[in-house]
Amino acid sequence: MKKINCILLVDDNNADNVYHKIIITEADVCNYIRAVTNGREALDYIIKSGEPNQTESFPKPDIIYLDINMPGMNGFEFLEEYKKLDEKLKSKVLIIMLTTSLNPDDRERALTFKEVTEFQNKPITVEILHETIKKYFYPEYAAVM
Amino acid sequence: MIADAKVKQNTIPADGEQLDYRHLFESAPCPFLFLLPNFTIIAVSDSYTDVTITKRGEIVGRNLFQVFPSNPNNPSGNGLKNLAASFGNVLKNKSADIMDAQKYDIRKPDGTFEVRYWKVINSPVLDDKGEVKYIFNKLEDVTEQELGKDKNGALELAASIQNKMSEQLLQYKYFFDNSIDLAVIANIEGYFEITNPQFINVLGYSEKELRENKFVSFIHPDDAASALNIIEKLKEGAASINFVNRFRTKNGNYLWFEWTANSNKVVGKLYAVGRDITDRKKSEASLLESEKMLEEAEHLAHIGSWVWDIKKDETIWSEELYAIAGIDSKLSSPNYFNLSAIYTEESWKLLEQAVNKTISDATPYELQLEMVHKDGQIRNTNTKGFGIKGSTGQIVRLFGTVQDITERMRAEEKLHESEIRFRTLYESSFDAIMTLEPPFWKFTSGNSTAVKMFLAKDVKEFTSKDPWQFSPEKQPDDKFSVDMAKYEIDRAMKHGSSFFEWVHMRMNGETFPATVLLTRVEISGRKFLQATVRDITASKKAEERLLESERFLIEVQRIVNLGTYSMDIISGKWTSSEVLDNIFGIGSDYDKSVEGWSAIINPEWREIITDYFAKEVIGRKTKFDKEYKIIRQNDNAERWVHGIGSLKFNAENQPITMLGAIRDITETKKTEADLILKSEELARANAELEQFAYVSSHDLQEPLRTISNFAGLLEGKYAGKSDGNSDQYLKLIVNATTRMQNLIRDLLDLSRIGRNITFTKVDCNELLVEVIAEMDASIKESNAKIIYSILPILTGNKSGLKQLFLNLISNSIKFRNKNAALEIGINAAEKNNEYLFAFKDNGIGIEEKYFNKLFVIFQRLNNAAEYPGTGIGLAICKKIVTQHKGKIWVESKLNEGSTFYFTISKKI
Repeated sequence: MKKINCILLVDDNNADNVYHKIIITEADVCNYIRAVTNGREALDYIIKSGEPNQTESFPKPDIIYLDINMPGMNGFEFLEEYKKLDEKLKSKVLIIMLTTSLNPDDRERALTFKEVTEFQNKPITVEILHETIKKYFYPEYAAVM
Repeated sequence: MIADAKVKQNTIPADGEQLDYRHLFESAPCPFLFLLPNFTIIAVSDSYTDVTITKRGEIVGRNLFQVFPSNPNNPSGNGLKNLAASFGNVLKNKSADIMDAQKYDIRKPDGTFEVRYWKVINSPVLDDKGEVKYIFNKLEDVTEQELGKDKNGALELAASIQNKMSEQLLQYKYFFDNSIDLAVIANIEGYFEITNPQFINVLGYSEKELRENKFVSFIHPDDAASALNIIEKLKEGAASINFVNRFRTKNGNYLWFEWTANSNKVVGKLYAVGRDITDRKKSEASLLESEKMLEEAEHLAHIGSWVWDIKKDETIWSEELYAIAGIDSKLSSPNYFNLSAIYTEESWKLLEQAVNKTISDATPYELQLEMVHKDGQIRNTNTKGFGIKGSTGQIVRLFGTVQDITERMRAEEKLHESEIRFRTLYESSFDAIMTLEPPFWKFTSGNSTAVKMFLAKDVKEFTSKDPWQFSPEKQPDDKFSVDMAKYEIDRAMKHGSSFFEWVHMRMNGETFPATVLLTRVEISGRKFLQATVRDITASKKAEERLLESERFLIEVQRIVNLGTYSMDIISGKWTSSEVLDNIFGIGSDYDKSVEGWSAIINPEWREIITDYFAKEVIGRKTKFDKEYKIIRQNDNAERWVHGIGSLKFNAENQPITMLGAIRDITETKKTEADLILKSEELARANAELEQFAYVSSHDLQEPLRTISNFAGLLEGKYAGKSDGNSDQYLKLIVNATTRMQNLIRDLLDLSRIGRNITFTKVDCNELLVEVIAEMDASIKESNAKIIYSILPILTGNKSGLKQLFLNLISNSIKFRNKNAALEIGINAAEKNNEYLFAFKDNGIGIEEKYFNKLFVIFQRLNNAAEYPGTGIGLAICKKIVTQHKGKIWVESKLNEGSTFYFTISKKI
């Protein structure tokens, strides 16, 4: 199974970002792991990733793990802005919303955005990460499972 | 009755016994007389007195030879001597003796004698012993024959006739001219020839008029035919004819005449003498009239009468008597003794006795007798009679009346019956009835109720007491009974009656309340009082109870501040309780009319209420039930009131009265408004709290997760690489954080229940399948067996119910008995207004003392190590059930299992 290029974590909780980096590293499924702490930064990152010669510093994400509650621009606000982005920037990008599974309302609201691929509860685990990669990037493996 | 008498006489049969011999004797057309052997005249015929020109009264009872003495002017007449000799022969031979013609001059009233010759037959009437009882003396006048024999006598006679003729003619003329009767000579051609002056006087026509018209033209048309008939008879030579007819006078009136007419065939003349009987006719008519009236009166009074001429044994009955006796008057002849047939034997005896007494000593009688009517019915009659004395002082006639009093007696019986009825009523009345009479107003009578009411032994004891003994000394108003009683008695006597309440006293001294009605009664001029006394002890008590409950009602209304009113729909007039007056702030002098009512209603509400009343209450006949504002009249304060009321209808279903109650709800309204405000605040606070709970739990979750995350990392990376203690410590940290996370999650769930809740149709069967699927892992792990019946499809909050099912099943799994295979039974039953669910397990059970604590948040009954949990699950269950307007409870036995019941209302 080939590694994907980049996973972008959008979460204001630094502890979570650290933990998730450890888990993702451990899972060994991508070349780059980048983390931003709110929606605004995430948008900036995506826009920058579209610019030429940014492969090293702003590699284009394949998966965006999006937290909902964030100061500044939260997850929903981010989604509103993300819709407006150039299709080139958005192609082949998975957005997985991370919830604490405490509030079903958030899930329902998130589902109204077609950009959202699915929900996952915090914390991300190695197993779930593997499954997600297989499911969306190597469906032939997933079928075997 | 005179008419009757005529009829009756005509109906006398030719029965020897009933012939009136005396009458026959006296009216026989031949002169004779009866003598006793001593020549005393005892009977004489009319004809005898006529020819002898004497009067019966003057000769009967006298000696024949004294009555007819010898003619002193003709002593040669030996008639009397011969007569005496003939009588002598009769007495001696006891056989008839016929005498030769005797000269026996008759003395005229003027004392002169008239020459007469007589053929005399004397015969004896013998008694039973063959002795001569009477001498019958019969005369035949043979004067003319005897005078013819004697020439001297003939000449004498002729001269005397001549003399007499001219003398008589003069006398006739005188008589003709001066007669008060009408005399007339007419010819057979039908014309008057000679009329006397009276004729002209009475009829008023001139002589000429009378001559020139046929006399029939003067006769009443109705009588003309019979007049012509009579003339025909006279022409044919009939002897004198008596008849009656009417003649028209000159002035057009008709007069009644009684005529005697005859004719002379040889000369062809008619002779008639007429007497004006108009007055008699009139009085006859009026007599007939009064007879009719009398008859009618008798009929009406059911009085029949009879007259019995004892001497003649002649009886006349009135028509009504026949009617009473039920005998046809045409088929029967009256007779005193006929009465015996129409009375009962006993009555007849009584009547006979009375009649005999009347005859003997003139005592009138009056008897109640039973008559047997022809139809067999017994009639009660009142029979009266009295005698009428003749000239001799003897009773000669009896006059009697018979009155049919059957009806009257029946009426009397009825009267008696009704008297009994009234007496029964009087005696059995629930009221005491008594009479008091002046001047001392003592009781003079009393019915049995009176006796009982006053506890007297009997009526005698009751009436022997002084009325004052039946009253206490004083009445409740502290006035003396005697004074009060006098006042009431005066009032009743003056105005006819008086009605009042009175405290009476029984003979044992016990007093009781009563009503008394005094009525003035007047019977045959005697005035007294009748008192009707009613013991009202019971009604007094009832009255007091009523008063009590009324007071209670008023008090209650006062306490709850409920005003009441009654309004007459037609007039708009209303009355109100004191409480309502207070609510309205009005006095008792307030104008209680529609306008007055309207003035009380707050102007903003007037139209609304008027409209509502007209359309809803009157129009649709609904109850009045509305909250509205009024202006309290005494302080102009705006007040809220709640009015309820309903209409009362008459028989025609027309509203007549509005009855209602009004409560001042201003304070309640204020409280209500406050309450709304408060509940709004509360809702807001709740929402904030929920928001807070959500946000805070979310925020709490993050650091917890971090701790748990990194504890997990440590655990994984360094397990078995450090000393045993740190492994244990890490494990404790992970457990604590997991528990904390569960707590926060449950808390958040709890706070979220009820937010934006929606109810939809939920199929509980599908729901249960879903739950079981979700719990698949734990069910398998616990090896639980879930048995369920068909569950209802109901209206509910799907996620809430799912949570409820989930919690209850997971509880059963969690608290399963480790020594037995877990069985969970789920059932539901439909009740009237709800569904009853039961979740039964065979788990560890719960002690009864914890039943109440079970549904309280954070209540845990077991240690966390063995049965981990947050203590929120059942609190959530209770909240969900409450939202479905249901209840939740548990039945359980320790170590045997628990059943959780809950209900879901059908009306959510």
